[in-house]
Amino acid sequence: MTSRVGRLSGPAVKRRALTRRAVLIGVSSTLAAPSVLRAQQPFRFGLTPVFLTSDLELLEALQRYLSTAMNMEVQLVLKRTYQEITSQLISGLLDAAWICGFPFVAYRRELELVAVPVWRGKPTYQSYLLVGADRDASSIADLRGDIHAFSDPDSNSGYLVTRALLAERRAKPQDFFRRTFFTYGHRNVVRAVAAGLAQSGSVDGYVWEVMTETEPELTRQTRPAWRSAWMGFPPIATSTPNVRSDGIARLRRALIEMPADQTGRDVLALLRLDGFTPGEPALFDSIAARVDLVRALG
Amino acid sequence: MRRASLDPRRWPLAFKAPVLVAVFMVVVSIVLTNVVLTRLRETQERQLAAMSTIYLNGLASAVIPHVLREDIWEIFDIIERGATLEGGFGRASIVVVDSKGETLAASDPRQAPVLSRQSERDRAFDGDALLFVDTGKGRAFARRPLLYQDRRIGEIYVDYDISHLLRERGEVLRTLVATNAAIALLLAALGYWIIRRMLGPLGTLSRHLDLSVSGPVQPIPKDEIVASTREFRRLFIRFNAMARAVNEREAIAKELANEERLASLGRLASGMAHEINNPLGGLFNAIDTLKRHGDKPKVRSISLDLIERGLKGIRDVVRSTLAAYRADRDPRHLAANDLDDLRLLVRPEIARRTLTLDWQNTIQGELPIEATAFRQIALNLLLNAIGVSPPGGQLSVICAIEGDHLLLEVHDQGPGFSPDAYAVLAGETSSPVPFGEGAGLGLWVTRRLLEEMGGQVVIARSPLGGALIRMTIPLRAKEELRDVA
Repeated sequence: MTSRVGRLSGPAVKRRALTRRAVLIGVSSTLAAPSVLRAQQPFRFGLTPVFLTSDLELLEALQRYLSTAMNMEVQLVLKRTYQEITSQLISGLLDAAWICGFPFVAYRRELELVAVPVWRGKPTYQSYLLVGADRDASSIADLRGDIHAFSDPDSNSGYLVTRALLAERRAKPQDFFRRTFFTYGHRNVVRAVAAGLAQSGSVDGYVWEVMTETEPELTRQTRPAWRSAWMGFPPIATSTPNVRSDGIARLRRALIEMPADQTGRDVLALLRLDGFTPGEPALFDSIAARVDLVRALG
Repeated sequence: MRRASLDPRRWPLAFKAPVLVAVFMVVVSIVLTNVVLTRLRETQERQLAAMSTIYLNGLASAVIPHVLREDIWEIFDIIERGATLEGGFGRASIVVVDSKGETLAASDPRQAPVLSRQSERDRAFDGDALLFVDTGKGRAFARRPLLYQDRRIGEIYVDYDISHLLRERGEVLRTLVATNAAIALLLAALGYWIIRRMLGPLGTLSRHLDLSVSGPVQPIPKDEIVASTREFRRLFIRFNAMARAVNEREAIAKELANEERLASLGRLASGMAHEINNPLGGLFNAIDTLKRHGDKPKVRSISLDLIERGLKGIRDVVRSTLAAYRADRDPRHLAANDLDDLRLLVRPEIARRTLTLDWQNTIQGELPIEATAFRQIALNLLLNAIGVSPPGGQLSVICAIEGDHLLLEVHDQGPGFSPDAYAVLAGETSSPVPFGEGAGLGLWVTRRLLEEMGGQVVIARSPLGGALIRMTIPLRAKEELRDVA
């Protein structure tokens, strides 16, 4: 699965990908060693394309911080899709994972909230409908007949929001758009729209905003045509049976206390986040409403 | 200066040989350049085909799984990364289409949007060709079917910048042309230098031959003979041998001419002896008379008168003889009495043969003609005419100015010129071989002197019945007179 790591690493450049893989394999092997000895099972933490850049710097800092703060071995598990990470989380292959609000709502009974990131002072974010910078569009109605890029079928901002918008209009993506495709990464949606591969895309507003700082030459070629209402930020979740475990308690404390630690602050700075809050499942009610709408209207 | 001829056969060798070398080099270089460029193009296209195959195979194996799933993003991600080529090929333009010919993804989606058709690209290929080069655009176009389990699931098209390869061809062409032009020029220059060096001795020979026209033949100096090649050394030695022979002959001819003049004077001597002897008898008689009857004033007066006339006659004869002999050491201009002296000189001969001489000399003052040579000519012609005239015959000599020429006509009643004599006087033979009895050399000397003075001769029939020799001698070029004297 190491080949999928490249997917997470946003601005992946061929020659860098190799070293990155090598290092990640190194990271996992050192983390896996204690499990072979059965001295202590490492804490397995799943990550998805929610990450912006998934630089080695970020992954290493996060792994180092969590290991230190939780005082135990932490293994970062990188998956391409939300579906993979969600199913592994539910089946107990992962102790915790940073997932999207959509799978959290969809598997509400199987999953429990660990923490919610705080961005610009609030645990919320938006979904954007992205178009080319020179295109005149302000609502989804202007995007009819487009080649449209989604990020992930289990992504709230990168799929569900647009799907629900169309459902309100009694339409389905495959009918409304000329063609749709999934990029399995919010950054990839920005790239697809910027390159002209897609004429429009559904993207995580938080990712796009952060990219305006880190990769302005890419975002400059795109423009948000429409912004959704504020919704619960993609949370860190665990499986329901696991919620009372010592590991989860350590993880929650480590996340909440992140701003107090220098390594933690470095991680937050790389993620452009303020910190983490315990959060309330009610944060994701608007997402749940969209899921219901889509289910109801097929 | 000779005008340059347009006929290549008449171009100088020193020019023709280098031009031939240059033309040969140009032909060789055209052939060579063609061969090199053809080989270069073939090599480049073979390498391009190989490169395209390897490149497309790599791309195809990467995209085939995604083409099967019609995963637009993955295909785009692969070809977008794969579009950057190394080695000056710039950024490739890659398009992947599905089995229906609709675009799945392109490295530049704005050029080839998703779902657009690429039939234009397909048409550009010749038949089943997998590669073609558009030199106008400076790009190579390649394609490869995407096969999965022997079924065609799509096609991949790629085109990339090959302008650096075309530039290389241009550079090779320029280098070849420049190098070949330089070599051709160098060889032509070298050829010119070599030919000039090889033909150098011919120039020496030509210069020496030119010199011999206006004077004695100059032998080629020894150091020049030593410095030349073996062939030319032999030629030079022969030339010098010839020069010696010619110069010797020239000296002999001069000597002969001199002797001829003395001979003609000698022939006159007997006549002059008579001329002097005749009055001498009278003079001695007069002296006897004076001895015996010198006291008689009348006898003395008559005797002295007789002596005076006799001495005057002797003085005239002596004077004209001196004039004829003095000449070579004192070149001077011709005057009327120089000619009249001749009449005096030939008078004994005329009298001996009982001929009549009609003498018409109308020239006045000095003429810019060398006196000695002219007198020699006139004397020779006159003696010749006297020699051929029958006893009691008539002769006529006319000397006058005609325009800017001096005219001399000698008429006789002789049998006319024999062909040999005619050839000698008319300058139609260069041989001074004497013919007949003595007269030949006289005519030959006359001819030489006439040529030196730039004169011309016409031999015709005289109204008197014999030969007419008519000579015209130009009156100009005073300077030359002294040179040739």
